[in-house]
Amino acid sequence: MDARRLTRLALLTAAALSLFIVELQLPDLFPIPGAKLGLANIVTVYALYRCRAGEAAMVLAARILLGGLLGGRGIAIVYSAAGGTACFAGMLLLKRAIPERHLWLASVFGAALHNLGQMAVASIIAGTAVLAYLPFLLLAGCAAGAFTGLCAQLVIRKGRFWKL
Amino acid sequence: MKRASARRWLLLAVLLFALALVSCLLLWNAPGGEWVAVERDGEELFRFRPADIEGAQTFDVPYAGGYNTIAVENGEVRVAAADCPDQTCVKMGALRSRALPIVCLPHHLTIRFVDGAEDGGLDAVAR
Ligand SMILES: [Zn+2]
Repeated sequence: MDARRLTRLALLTAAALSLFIVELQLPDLFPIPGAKLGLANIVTVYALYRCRAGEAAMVLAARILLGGLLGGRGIAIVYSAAGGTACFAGMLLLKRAIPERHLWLASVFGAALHNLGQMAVASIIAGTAVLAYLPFLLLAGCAAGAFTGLCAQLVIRKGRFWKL
Repeated sequence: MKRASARRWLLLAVLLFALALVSCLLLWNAPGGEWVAVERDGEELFRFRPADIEGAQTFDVPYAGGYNTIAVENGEVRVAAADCPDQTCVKMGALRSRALPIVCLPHHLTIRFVDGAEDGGLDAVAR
């Protein structure tokens, strides 16, 4: 891996972490267990479409690990790892079916998969009663996924202009 | 080909959204119940009947040095306070539907309506 690519990955990881930290400061939008805007996913979605799969995976893994450490909510790391993995694997496949200009749509499915992964872990940890919140989580996730996807699309369009 | 495929995915997304919306409405409007069970890790700690409790009462459910304070008033059950990091259980408000438990993920706690009485009583934990 040359220095240029490495720098870009480091930059993406830093951006993802910053977004993650910013979101920790925001008040919760929905009183639903596990619901989050997922601002850091803007970077994940961007990396998935603009970098190699392995590189995008590295950025995601680094963000989850470092974010978990910085966020200081021990168990949260398990949820985001499960959700992140499901989301990443799904979007890697979707990338072939959904072109970049419909990226937001891929992001919606990514968010839904993220919720499914999260809920799978939550039902194991806290009992199956939490599954009742899956539909609420999916609604919030679809909206959040569309938003982060549109942000990523915007970044890609601006990035082209700035020759990133 | 590419375009048709993207449209199919859009349709699927809309379907998913609609399905989730309908499920939410059904879950939200499900009736309550007579008995309320407090569970940790899917195992019942105790159950009680809100109607049996006169006036307002609160009781703490401890968790690894932390707590959730459950308040019962006028037959309504909610988490009045907790020292969990996300405070979701407090913000969820009163228990209203049989299908929707109050959940505190950080403390592995669920509070939900259940059928009938079983062993374990409020007296064991009430303060
Ligand atoms: Zn809580």
